[in-house]
Amino acid sequence: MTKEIKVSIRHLYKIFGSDPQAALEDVKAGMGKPELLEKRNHVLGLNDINVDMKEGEITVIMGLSGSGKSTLIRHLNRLIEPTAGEVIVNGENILDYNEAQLRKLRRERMSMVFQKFALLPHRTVAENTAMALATRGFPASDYVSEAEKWLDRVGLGGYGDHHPHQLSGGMQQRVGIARALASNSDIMLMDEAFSALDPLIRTDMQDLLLELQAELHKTIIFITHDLDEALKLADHLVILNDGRVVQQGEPQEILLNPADPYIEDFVADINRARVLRVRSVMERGAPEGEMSGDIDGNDNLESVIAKAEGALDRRYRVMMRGEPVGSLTMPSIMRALVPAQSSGETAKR
Amino acid sequence: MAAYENFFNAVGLKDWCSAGGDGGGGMTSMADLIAQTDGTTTQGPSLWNWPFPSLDALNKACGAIPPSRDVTQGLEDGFLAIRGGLRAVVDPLTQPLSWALRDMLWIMTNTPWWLMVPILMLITWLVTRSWRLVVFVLVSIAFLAFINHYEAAMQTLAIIFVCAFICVLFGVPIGIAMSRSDRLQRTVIPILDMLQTLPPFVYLIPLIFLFSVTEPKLYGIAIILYAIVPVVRLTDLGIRLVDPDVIEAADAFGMTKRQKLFGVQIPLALPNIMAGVNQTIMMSLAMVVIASLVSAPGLGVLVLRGIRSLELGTGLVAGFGIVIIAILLDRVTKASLARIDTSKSRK
Repeated sequence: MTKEIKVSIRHLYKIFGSDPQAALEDVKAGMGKPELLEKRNHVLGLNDINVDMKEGEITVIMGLSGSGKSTLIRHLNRLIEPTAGEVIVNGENILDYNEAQLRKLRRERMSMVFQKFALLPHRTVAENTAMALATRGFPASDYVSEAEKWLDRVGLGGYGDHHPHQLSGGMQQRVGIARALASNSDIMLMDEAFSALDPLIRTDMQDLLLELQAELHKTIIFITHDLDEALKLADHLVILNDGRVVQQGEPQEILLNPADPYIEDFVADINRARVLRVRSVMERGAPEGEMSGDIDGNDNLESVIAKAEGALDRRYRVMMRGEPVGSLTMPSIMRALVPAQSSGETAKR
Repeated sequence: MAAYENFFNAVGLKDWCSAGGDGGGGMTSMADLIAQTDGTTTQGPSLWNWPFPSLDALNKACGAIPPSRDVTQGLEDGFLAIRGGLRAVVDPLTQPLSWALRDMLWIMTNTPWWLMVPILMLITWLVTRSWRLVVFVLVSIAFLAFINHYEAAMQTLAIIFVCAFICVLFGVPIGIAMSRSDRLQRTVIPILDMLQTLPPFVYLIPLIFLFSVTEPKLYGIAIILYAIVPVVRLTDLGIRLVDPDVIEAADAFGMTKRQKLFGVQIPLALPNIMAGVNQTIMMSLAMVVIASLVSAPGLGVLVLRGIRSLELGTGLVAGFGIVIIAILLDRVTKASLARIDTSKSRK
């Protein structure tokens, strides 16, 4: 796990209003969002964000609407300018970039997938897919085969001559993903990319993304308001509330040790048996004694319960990459299924 | 005596008033004359018909205050004073319009009918791809020619083609500039409002003073000023209505402003722009009739003759001819608009 840090956000602030710089002083002095709105009539969008995004990982930024997640992702390619802070990509602060450098960044190193697809309605699917290449000035003959390749890859081979409005929502978003992939950038920004799709198609798309990621190893920054989606995709999970990072880390870790009541509320409703992995709840150390069988560290608890057929007296050996790393008893699974209640009644809200 | 005389006496301006003029006004109105013959002059007005303190009422009491007639006179004098300078600037600038109109009129009236009609049908086919409309164009023009209105109809069409083309040439860029700058939009919209609400006849008055009546640009300018409004408005609106999500995507993929304008904004605003072009053509047709007052040739002249010499039949037939041309232009532009709409496949 010694991956390079690809994108790094440092002390990022965003304040909306007529005089953000003056309001920034107040925020740094500790003024909160409601107070700032009341006293200065400025909206606090982002408050001291620090996130490191590692190369080849999916970083999921999760929060409810109004938490500032869409604002945050738009700072990464400067569709929105911050009030203060740094955004470092490959070691360079992109806020120092001039217009030409920024354009180069957007064209070649970062691509984006949008919640509402944002395809060009007057161009064909193939032309849309090749948008990044056409924007860079390649002639049509060069990018048609490239576009076809990526359309094939997302399961839309043969649809190149259609117009976007002839496709269903799920297919349009596949075009959106193909468009981002075709730009051949190593960073992909996905702004609630699957939120507008219905649940079954959303699951399909998540599987497609994971499948592509296993092969391409892009650095993906994914925004969502859906915790199940976040837990499914995330290598690194950042939870945002009211413009602040409430907790970030490995998803399993957040699930088992929520840092504050807000996150406890969040994790209270999800299907823990499906999300939690054996490796997060097992007892570490070489297993001894009698075992009922072997399970993989990356299996989820649901599959273990199914394997035990509901019996509570089983004890399994946990294997990671062919080696035994720990053991798991059924009672510890049961305990893990109940959300931690560190601060009592808040979880019931 | 006059209603406000006591007021001027009271504030001690009597001397100033009598020094300034002849106290009672140079002009005698009809009402004054009647009053004199009735012998009621000496009585001041009662409270019931007390006059508003207008320039004329005040002038009656105090000669130093000018009557309102001087205001219109002053405006006229002012315009005549700058006329020479204005003409020296505007005349050469607008000369190409005269040439364009004159040449277009010459071409459309001197091309033999058996060549002109197929050309118009071909243009219709190119922009609409609809056989029904091509036949409609043929039938309409054949009908107008059959009742000996061919030449007048061609003159009207020639003027509309030139003026509508120039409207689009200037209107679309102005609309684009407006869509990019809120400040420009705020300044241009009142001008457009004024151009649109000013009675069409009013355009003609200053133009008659500026240009010779023999110059086609006289009516050309009047038509363009009147008809340019919708294409400017709808270009501005069309570009502003382009889905902001799509614009954001264009930004996110690093399009330059130019790529965004020609690759995204204009194509997506095209249905609106074309609706503006349609309106512009219809409005130039409306104006070309009025412009016959200042020597614009075409069907309008016949309508005017119908009014002037009470030739009922001439006026009605020419009016009907204008209706036919209006329907023709409207159907053809609408059909080409619909074609753009479907081929660009908007949602």
